[in-house]
Amino acid sequence: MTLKVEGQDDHYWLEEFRKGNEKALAHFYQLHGKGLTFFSSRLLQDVDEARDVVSDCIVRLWSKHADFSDPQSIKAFLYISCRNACLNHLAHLKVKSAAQETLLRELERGEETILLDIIKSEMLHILDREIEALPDTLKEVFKRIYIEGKKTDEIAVELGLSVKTVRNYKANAVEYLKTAMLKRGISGAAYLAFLMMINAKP
Amino acid sequence: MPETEFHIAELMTGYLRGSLDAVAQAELEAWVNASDRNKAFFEACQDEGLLREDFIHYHTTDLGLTWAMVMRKIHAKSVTTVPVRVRKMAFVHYVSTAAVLLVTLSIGLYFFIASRQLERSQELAFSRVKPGGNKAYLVLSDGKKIALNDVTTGRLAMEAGVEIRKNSEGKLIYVVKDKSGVADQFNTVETPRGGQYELILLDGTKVWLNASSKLVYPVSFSGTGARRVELTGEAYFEVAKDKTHPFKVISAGQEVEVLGTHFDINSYADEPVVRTTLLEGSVRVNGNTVLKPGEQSVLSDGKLNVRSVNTDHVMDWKNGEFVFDNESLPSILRKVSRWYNVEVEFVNPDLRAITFTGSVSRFETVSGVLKALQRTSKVHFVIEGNVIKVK
Repeated sequence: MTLKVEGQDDHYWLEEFRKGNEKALAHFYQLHGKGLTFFSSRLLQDVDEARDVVSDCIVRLWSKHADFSDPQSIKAFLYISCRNACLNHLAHLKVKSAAQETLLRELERGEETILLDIIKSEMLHILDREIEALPDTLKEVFKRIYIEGKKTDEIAVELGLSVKTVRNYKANAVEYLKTAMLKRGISGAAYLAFLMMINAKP
Repeated sequence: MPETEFHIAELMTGYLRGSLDAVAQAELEAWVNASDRNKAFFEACQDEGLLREDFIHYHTTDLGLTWAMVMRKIHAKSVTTVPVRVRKMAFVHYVSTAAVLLVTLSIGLYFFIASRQLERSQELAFSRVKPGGNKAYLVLSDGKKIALNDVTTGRLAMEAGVEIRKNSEGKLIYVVKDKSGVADQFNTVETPRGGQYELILLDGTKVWLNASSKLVYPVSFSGTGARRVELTGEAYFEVAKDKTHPFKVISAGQEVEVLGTHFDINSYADEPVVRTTLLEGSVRVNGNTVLKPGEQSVLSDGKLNVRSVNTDHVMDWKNGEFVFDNESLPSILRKVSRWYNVEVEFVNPDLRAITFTGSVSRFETVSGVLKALQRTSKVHFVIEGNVIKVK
């Protein structure tokens, strides 16, 4: 699939991006796509429209691919053009929902809400990347509990383990994860999220 | 402008994990105290429930769908750049002085431009043929038909105490609302040519339906001994485990029984055989043939044979790809015709025998796929209306 991208460093991808390699576009899209979609659907209150806006912004980014000199400016460009496209879209909507109406009025007065939404998207991006860096089995259990909201018995069935094993595993998981993360030098945001889910789901 | 926000986000996550030094801590505090809005935001970020909700929202984004739109938009643009190259050739006129040379050149140029223009019209014909997408119809037990890509997300219907919803990712999902509901009501999901759809049945079983396929299944599995569904075409199943209620898939002359597993059935009417491929767990085909992961059973003229296959090649469609491993041209073009909703005509029947190996994205326009095949020089395609002619 075109979306599959091998592990290379930022510098490599930036060079390829400037040369016009579509794989590099896929790389930057994979990196920021979720954050941008989250950000845009917050502003637009509509996932389908958000997808359309995000895809337009990616196309716009691609048309200027030779102009970018660092990965940070790619991210900044994407957020700014998403913001503009969303505001434009909201302003031209013939029929607005109450939520969209309030939002637009708020946005026209000042930009603060938008800036907070950028911070939130970026925080989730950081958290997501740290979870992706976890070892596979932990990531699997983590996603099942935290993202899919599954209970112990469901996970037991899915992973082919006994309920007792999963329960034991969860009890030991905090300690295990702590050491595993310390060893691998993984920062604590994922650890924090893991703690939250252990406490959230008995 | 957003650089400041990116930096604040780093400070915030650092704060949440407790890894900020004194300088960074002071920087964050200054930002928090700068306005009431910032303060409220800072407090909301520490609410575990809210953060989890946002994270789920963030995580459920379907990257593939947006990427397909990006690819379509980018490749639609590149076609329009073709005419520029034709005009550049006019410079050739200035090069020649001798009349004879000019004549020969002009003739050559005439043919060059003519062939260019032919290529161009073909390019446009190719680009008009768009790849498929998430499209399907749901037929309720009372016969009511709903176009799933047209309806907004949320509740579509209530049947047998079960709520039928289209969720935020566009999947069809069944949720129990009233346990005393009646059994024996059936729904059908049907994909057209050029459509595919994902649904989650009431028991939690996930089904990916490929183009031009149909699945009939009970709304509620309660009361039935086995979970029976009927398939025409191709689907990939991730069956929820339930030992007391085996899951059965009935399709063109075969019955597959499973307990909880991942497998694909390809039973298109225009395919010569029915293929069942197992990825995980175990399934029993027609009562006595048990498949192991990585094995595929092939039903042909009532006889069942088992062989080992590369499951990535079988699951290409679900992964958004066409993967061909020494595959015959007619077989390749059957897949193309189902996904791009086009007809295929072999002008030169000898070409039915050639085979290809390689892969290409399903989200390309049809030209991407056909050009990849054409590049081998073994075959040439011409599009006329809705028909691909193979020469």
